[in-house]
Amino acid sequence: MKSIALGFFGIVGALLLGFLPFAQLEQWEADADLRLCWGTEPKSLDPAVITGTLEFKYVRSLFEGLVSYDPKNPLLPAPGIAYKWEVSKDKLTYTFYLRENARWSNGDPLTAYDFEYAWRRILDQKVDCRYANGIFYIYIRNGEAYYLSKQAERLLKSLITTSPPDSKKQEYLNAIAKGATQAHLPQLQQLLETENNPHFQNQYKRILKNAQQRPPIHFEDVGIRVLSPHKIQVTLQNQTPYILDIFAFPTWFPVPQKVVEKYGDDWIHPQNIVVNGPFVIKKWKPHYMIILEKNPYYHSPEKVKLQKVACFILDKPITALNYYDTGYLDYLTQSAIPADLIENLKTRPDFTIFPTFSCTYLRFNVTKPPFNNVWVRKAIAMSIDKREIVDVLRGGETPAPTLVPPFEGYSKYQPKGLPYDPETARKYLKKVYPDIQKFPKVEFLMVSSSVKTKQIFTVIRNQLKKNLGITIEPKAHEWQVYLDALSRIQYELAYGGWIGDYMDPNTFIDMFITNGGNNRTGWGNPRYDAWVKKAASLTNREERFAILGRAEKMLLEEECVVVPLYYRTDSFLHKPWVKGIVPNLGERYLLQFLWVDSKRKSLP
Amino acid sequence: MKLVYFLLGRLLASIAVVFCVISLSFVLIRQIPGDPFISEKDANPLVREVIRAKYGLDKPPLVQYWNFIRGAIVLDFGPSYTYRSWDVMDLIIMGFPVSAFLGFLALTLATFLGVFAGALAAAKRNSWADYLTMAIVVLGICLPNFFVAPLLVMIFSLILMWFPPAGWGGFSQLVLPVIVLSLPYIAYISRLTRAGMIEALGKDYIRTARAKGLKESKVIFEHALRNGIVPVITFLGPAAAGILTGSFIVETIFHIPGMGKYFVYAFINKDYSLILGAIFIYSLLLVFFNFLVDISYYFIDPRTREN
Repeated sequence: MKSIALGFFGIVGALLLGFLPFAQLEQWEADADLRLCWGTEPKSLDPAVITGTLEFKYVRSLFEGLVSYDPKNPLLPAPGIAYKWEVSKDKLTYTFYLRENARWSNGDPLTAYDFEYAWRRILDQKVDCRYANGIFYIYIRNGEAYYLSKQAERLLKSLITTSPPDSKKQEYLNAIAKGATQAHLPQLQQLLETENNPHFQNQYKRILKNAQQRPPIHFEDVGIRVLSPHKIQVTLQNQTPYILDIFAFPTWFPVPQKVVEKYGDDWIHPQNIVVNGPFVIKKWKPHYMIILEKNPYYHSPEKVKLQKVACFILDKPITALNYYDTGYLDYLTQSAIPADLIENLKTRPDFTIFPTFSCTYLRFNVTKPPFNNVWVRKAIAMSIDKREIVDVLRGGETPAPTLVPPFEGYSKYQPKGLPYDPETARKYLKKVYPDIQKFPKVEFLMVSSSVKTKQIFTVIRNQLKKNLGITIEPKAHEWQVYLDALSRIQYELAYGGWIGDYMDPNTFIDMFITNGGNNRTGWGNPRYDAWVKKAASLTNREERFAILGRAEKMLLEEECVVVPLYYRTDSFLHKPWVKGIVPNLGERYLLQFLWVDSKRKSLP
Repeated sequence: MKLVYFLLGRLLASIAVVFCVISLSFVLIRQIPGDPFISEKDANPLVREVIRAKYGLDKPPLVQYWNFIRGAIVLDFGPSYTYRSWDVMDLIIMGFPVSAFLGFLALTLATFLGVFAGALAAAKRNSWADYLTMAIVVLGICLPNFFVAPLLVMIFSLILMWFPPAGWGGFSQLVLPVIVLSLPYIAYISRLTRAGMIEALGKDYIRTARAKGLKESKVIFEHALRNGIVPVITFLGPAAAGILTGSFIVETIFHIPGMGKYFVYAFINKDYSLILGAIFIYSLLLVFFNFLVDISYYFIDPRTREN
């Protein structure tokens, strides 16, 4: 019996102990100059694919675009891979001069062709670039027409080879209608011949007719031109005052053509990835740590003072704070700081909190009762006391009268927003629902993992109960399911938030154009769309802001599509020996701007 | 010969179980609401089709299933949907040894401490030592590790500064997570040992041993323990599987790069390939440990040999 016991335990033990060599017991962070935590595991490092602020932090450390940010004031553009640029008189053509010594981290020269390749990769839809529309092709001359034509080509091919359900097919056809040109006539003809449903037959006929009017569009027609290996020209669709900020966005970063072509989507795997920024990935253990080291091929090595950085990947902010307080971490950004402790941290000298260019708001689904009625929407908006929400959250937020956070030069054109006025709110609601008992059941869509959205819900529910006598129910979903419900507009009232992608009010206003992908309310107004379009073509800042302000007035006061709740804050904790952090509205913290002074303590 | 048939039968049954588990999972995960590729910046939902096509999600379900089974046989689950820089097997190969090593330490600690405490409690039955050990044991079962872990971190890392608050790499970083992970198992094992020992101590051969004038410690730890420990051995199989699959909270709180968290995050992110990969590995493990337990029954309990 004893031998069996021993044997059994021996087998289990030997199996488990056998994993010791693979468990890799070694301390990676021991000799790092800086140990920081930006949050959890980054999902992708492909500059064209990423959308999250966490991924931006990694990608901005690993890659660099034509334009970068000024270390002293990160809201201003500064030379990146391009050491200078020229702007034509009509402000439509930008010619970038690339540094001759710019290289990829494998030693290959970085040329204008890498930029062209990266941009064409997005336009040709070789990657799932979520920012293709908002940050990319709409700014390039003929970019939209080319992209839509390529999209039509892709969807036509998919319709020929697969047979999607009718709802999806309709979605495809709507998109094809926008982009089909004479080049697509054969495929359209083929699909029309095999189509049995008369409803779709008619649509094919209409698309065919429109496509015949549109000449084919080629990449040569797009405003991207490589003039020499170190000179690239971009022609804009419209004059865009904030275009340099756009050029500095990761979507515009170059990718190494040879490497991407060799490995396909696997090019971002740690063993394959080749970068052009100030740092390279040395080691990476998922959900644990990424070790960055200074890139020896970076064009300005003297500007990068950190040699080795340990990026802790932490899923629980409280673990990050424990590490920080015991001396294992030097620098935490907001996503690594427990939100419910910010109130206590405010008194500490190593804690910094400041406003950002972002807003949290309520969305109405305007496609169905009760919120298809503007008076009901206004009644809700006017019976929410934003001050109370901010008091409950206690993260340093400020109540938001408007969607666009305070922005230099724009404030005087901004609407006031609807006031907190329960008296009037009740009157408005009475117009539509004289008997409040008849008010339909309303659910508040929110994210289950976020404590904040639950707190917001509780405050709003109590206020609506008190001020209007109506009851709203919570509907908490995981992030992915929440987004899915939002994009299908399957909700009544929903939590929403937006972080400005670039430093201009337009990043908030153009979200709500008719059928805009980030609109997600079902609302649309041709006048609003026209204003946004008009503003995009104006260069005079005052005129442009005046029009955007007018549009915001419609969105908030006249139509009341969203209810701004508060402006978010950003915060960080850092030890006194971490230098070079400049608090800014845009959450732009480039790792290459940081350094540590000699007073740094070693690992405990 | 009988043993060979027994083993073959068990093996076939195990393969069938794993096949059923992953097939069912394949169907079920596709019923979870939510799209793995949705993003808060989805201006154009049709962009998602690009990535869906790359992952083969535009193909008919049966084709997808066939591709998945073909991959699973050679342990290739393709790229992770959420962590685009990794293949599912990369993540498992890196994470699993860490979880396994941690689990091994925890289980070893649990077995030694549990057996010792259980034997002690049985020997000093109904004394204050018995009551105290059993009280601690009940506490160990009742307190969830998401409560114990932060408590230990607060006491031993933040206040006393004996151990690092989290991390992986040094031996001092192993202490707290191993203790937290093993606590419930210490509790179970000591209860099992105590029960087995009490039964064994009532047997005639113990009286004989005592009558021979053997030292009491020898009676308890050599003669009685041999029989008293049998229930513990059969418990070790499921315990090993449980400790490997149940390390999510400990891994998250203590920042350990194990595999436990993929099991949870993959579901939250609707990462189909990672979910299926993790389920496959875990179902293999569960089946394997049950297989070991079955074999041990074969030796321990003669009744299983008869059919």
